[in-house]
Amino acid sequence: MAVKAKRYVGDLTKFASQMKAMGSLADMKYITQRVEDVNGPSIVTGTAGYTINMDVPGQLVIKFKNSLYAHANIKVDTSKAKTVPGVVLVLKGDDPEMEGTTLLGDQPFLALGKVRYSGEPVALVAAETEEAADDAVDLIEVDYDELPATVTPEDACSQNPAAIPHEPAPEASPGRPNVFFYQPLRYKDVDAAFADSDVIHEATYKMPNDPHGPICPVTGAAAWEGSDHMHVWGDVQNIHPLPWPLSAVYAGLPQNKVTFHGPTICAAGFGGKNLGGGAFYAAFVTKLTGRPSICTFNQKMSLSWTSRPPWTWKVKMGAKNDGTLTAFEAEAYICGPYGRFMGGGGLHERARNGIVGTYRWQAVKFDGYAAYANTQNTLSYRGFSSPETCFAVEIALSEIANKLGMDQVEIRLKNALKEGERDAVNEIKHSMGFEGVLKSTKMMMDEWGPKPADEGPVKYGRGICGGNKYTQGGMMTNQVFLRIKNNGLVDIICDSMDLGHGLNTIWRQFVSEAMNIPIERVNKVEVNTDTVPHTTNSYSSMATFHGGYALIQAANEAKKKIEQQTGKPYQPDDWSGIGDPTSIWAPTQIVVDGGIYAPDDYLIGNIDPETSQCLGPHYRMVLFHSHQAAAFEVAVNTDTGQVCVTKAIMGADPIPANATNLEAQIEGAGLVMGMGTATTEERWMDKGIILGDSFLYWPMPTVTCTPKLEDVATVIEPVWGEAHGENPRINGPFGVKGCAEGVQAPVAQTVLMAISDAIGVQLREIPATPDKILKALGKA
Amino acid sequence: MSKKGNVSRRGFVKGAVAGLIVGAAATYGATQIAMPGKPAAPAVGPTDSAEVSYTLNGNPVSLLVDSRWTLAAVLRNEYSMKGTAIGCGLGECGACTVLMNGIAVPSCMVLAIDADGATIETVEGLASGEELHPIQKAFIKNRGFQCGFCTPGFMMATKGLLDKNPNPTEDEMRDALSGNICRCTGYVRIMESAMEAAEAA
Repeated sequence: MAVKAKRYVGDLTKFASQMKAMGSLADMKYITQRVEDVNGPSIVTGTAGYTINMDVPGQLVIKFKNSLYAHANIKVDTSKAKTVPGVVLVLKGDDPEMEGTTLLGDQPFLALGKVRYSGEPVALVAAETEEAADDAVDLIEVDYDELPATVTPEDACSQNPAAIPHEPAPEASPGRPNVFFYQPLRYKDVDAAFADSDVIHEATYKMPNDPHGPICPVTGAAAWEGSDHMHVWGDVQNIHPLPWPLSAVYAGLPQNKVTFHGPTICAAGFGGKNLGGGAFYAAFVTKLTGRPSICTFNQKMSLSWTSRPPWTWKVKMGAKNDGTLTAFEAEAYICGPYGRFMGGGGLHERARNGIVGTYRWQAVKFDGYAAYANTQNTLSYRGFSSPETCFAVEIALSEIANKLGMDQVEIRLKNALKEGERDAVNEIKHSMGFEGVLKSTKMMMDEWGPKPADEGPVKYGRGICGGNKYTQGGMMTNQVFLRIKNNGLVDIICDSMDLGHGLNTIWRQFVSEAMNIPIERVNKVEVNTDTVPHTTNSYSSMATFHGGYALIQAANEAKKKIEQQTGKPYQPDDWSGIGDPTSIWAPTQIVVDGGIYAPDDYLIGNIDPETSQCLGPHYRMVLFHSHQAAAFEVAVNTDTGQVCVTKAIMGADPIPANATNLEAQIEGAGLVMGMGTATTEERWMDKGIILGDSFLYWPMPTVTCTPKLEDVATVIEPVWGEAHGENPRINGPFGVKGCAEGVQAPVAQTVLMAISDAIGVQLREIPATPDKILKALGKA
Repeated sequence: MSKKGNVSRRGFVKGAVAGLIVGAAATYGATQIAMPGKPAAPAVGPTDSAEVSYTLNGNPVSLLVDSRWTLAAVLRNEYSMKGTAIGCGLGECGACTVLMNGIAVPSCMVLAIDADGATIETVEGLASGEELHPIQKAFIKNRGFQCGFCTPGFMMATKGLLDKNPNPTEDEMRDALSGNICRCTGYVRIMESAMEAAEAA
């Protein structure tokens, strides 16, 4: 037998009766089972339906000229590019066709007069062939008048930043000109709590811009049908909230004259494909030229187009000698060239959730600032502030434990919030699986035995930390239709894309479980705006939660309608009374439109803008937190600064819809992606200018960095939350929780603590590249 | 698939890759998509071209290629073999890995004219009719993929090793897959799939 990683899943059968009460007919025959992924056959034969494979006859190829500088006034000359044979269209920001275009609020479609980040698109070419487009891009001349750039979050958020990227300066916090969003959290008297502390720890923690880095770059395509209807395709996580309406704007058509098509599989997103930029450029080019077009960002543009913003945390944390946590005080700075997805409070509002998600505080004071800067462009990134916030909170907590000489697990268990307790923003804790998952992770860690002895310059270190990820209400409405056919098949008609995380399979599992029919009898139809109802997104680990409820509701409705039409009690294997199959006139299908899960379902609360406290009567913004724990062992070569992760355990607390899918998330975009965040992923930049614009200069982990199979373990320690007098639908559908993003929340801090343990010096900045490690050791 | 002789490109596409998803053309049918204004025919064709021949998944083929075309572009654009994915176009990610004379190469770094006379194997040639190759079966069974974009490259790199070394160690398999990057499923299940394929082979 080939070696396998270790995979532990806690007892799931104990939830069977609760699932039955929620409408399960199949006694867990499908939900929680390791159903084989339905995308498998198309993926392994190379026939999966990705948008990048679009091949409309006669389609133009769109390519971009990108800015070299981070901040500069520009003059663009496209005249030579227009002479290249095969070039159909060349556009720059100040061309008359561009009038009135903005991508999202403050971001221009193509840079207009000035660039605000290195890699920003300044001009585009649409040509008959890739070669003609490449030649034309090379002939576009950009004259840069370089300006000072603000390239760190501290500087961007400061009172005297090196540059003001946007005029007039927003000054959303008095005296800080670039700050466009400010979010405070206030809970009790933080000064009194510090006065009452035996130990106080202060430190600054940093993480850089990090691109999403999907191997399949962002792609969109467009084509006319007749002269007044446009089809637009996009490699997007959903089609409704942004991709469809914005494509219509760029197509110059009303929304009902644009059909937006999603892919069968969105080729990985991590939040970076929420927007679907390529589709807008394609729609615009197709509008102007009358020709079909395809727009695939190259990796140079893709890596700059979407990233996690850089974060700097200034943290002060207090505790009593017995390890009881007292106060948490922090300022967090983030920045980016445009406000997209950082504005409106997004990230700092969620930082609030991360700070209070796991631990009990006597007092909290938090100030989150988001500012304009000349750093890489940003978009919602896996966990949307959960990994970033847990990084700071967990390392500070680890440092406090080290100061107290206290065990890392003991201090966490001592301060972990209990089910039903109110947290520091006045929300009732619900579905608290942290204790269970931390204990199980520690138990598996104990099986490692003693830490290996040093081998010359190679020293070993270990770490164990926690993490949390909120699932926030009020962000999403999820509606599904089911089409019941008398041949026994069911179609799921919905938005929300499978990004590879298994949604196409898991949604089938929900219907199979609720109707007690095999997976093979359930299908998910092509996602396009002509067919599927509105859903806000496949993001924030909510498609399983919200979609699952909508599917169960629709399935229950379907069972009733089948009973009405057939005139007998629901039989999973006999739907023969639906319509008259011998007649072409009698409908042989039922469409159920009853599945909807909307914010009203959980009576979402509001927060006080000055304190972030959740207000009555509902006292809930977060439906639940999922909790994680991780343990790592690393080997560090103290002569070269190289790090090798030698052992890893990753734990999570959801009841999995499909344990195989959850483990794949844990091992992939949790373990491996998190290892990259912690040790390698930093772009080569100088004053905000990208020095290397490909994967080579932004190294993601490869298989050679991954621990051996026998040294990787996953732990799933599932929890069923109590409703605490609230709507029971704040628990998951069949108790299942979506959790794709949370898997990365415990990783970076654990790896960094393990490295710090190995070298005997505390590191506070990621990625822990060799230069930083040697500097910490006084060797560089 | 067993057609012998120097078949034309169109004929090959029809015979060998029927059923491939070809984006919108398959979904909507080219005739439904009108293009007002300009004609669909490219204004420019190959400017500096040469005739090349390959043995592509067992079939002899020949075609005229532009001197700037890469093997990856030829597979995708001329033969509609979209399983060979282009992630970076710079030889860094391995998504476009194919076997050229039995050796795993990033096909985006091979000029189409330089592959003249070569034997090329792609993901489309793995299965025998309906019967999936043991590597394909192992990747499905072990869920050695998530979004699957990098998967054909990993499978071809696996085949490149197993064709020469049917009983590799975990470290040998690691070396063979070290030129391929996966962003979403990591490498644990990929390694498990590849090692299980080695057992089955």
